[in-house]
Amino acid sequence: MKVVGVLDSRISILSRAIIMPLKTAQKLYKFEGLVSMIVVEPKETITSDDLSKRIEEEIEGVKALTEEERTDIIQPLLSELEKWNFGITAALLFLTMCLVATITFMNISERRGEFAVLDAIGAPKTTALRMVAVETVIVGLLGSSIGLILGVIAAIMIVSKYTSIPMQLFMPSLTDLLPLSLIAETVGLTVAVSCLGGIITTLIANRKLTTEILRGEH
Amino acid sequence: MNIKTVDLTRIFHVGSHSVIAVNKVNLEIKEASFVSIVGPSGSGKTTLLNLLGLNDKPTFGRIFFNGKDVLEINDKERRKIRLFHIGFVFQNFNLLPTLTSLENVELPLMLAGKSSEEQRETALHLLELVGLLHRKDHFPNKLSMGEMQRIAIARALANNPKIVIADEPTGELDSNTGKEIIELLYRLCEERKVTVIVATHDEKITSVSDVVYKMRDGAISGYC
Repeated sequence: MKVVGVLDSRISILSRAIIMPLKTAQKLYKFEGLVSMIVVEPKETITSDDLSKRIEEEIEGVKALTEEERTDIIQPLLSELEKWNFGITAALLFLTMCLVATITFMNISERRGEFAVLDAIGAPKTTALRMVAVETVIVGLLGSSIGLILGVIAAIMIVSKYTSIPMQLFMPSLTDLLPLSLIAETVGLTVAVSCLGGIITTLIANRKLTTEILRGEH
Repeated sequence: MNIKTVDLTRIFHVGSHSVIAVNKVNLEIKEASFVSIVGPSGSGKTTLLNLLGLNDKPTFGRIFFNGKDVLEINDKERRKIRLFHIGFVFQNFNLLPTLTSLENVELPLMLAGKSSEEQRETALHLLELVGLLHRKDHFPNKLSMGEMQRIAIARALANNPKIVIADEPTGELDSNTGKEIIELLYRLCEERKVTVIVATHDEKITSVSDVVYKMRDGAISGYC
């Protein structure tokens, strides 16, 4: 076997495992052309525990696991993966929120002059707030939707490149990769943060005297 | 609209210092008169105009519009007075850069709840009045200083106000354009019976004024 690379991973699931293409593994363990796993269902007369013992006794070199045993092995790994997945998603979401809030803050700060003019010509106090609320909802909706679409496309492209799984194979399970609940959460949170950031900034901007702002506008 | 101020005072607090920008100003401005306020920079002209335009609140003193104390009414009513009865022309124009000339003039009309047809019709008429109908679709950054000032005047006139307050309207303009603006303001006063109050250094404006108030250190030091 030719070593093509070494992965230094901090993820414990990868540090305890060897990952290789199925064909390489079959060749390495002299199972070329053979299946990698057989799933058997015990008859009513025998339990799964007994069946797995009998298989291991009768067929040399075979490891037989019951559903429970398999779950016991996989579950900790899955849990850890799930934690990592949640952590990464939460961190990305937090970064997105910070970015949205910062952009909204900058945008509103630059428009203080505009709000001061509206105030000076007698616009109701709520005009600026309504403008900002509508704008931030639209921007939040568009931004999060476009971000989600581009994010999913990028993720699929990256995963496809590094796993050699063709991109079209991800398409049928797109709703699993990106469930509606996640879309709703992301869009809802982005819109809420964008709107809240805009309204708070507008309220702060409105506290400054209109006359002071207008005097500084050129 | 007659305007009267009684001991109008505005004090700004900057850190531990207090600056008396307007100091016990007593004015009486008659309806449809052209009034100039002159004085050196920092004498309190702009602060006084902001107080008269209800953009700012005095620390002490009273302002009466046709005998009614406008400081006793609530913020919502003051905004209505600003929208319907006062047109403010800023020294630096303060046009909204994302709106065209026409839209800038339409803005106060929209805020006043006028129909879109009425907004369009009035705004076009006002642009014609200030001689900029051909620039209706241009954004402020495509206009000259004089044109921006004329758009600002058109905006100030949108809701047919009884008072037009202009803060150094010719301050950033060349003499010919300044002259046109003065003529425009004078025409408003004469033809529309609008009370025009102008803060200025420009002698051409003071020469057409009914009353000229001189300000120094926040106080009225004389008038003629």
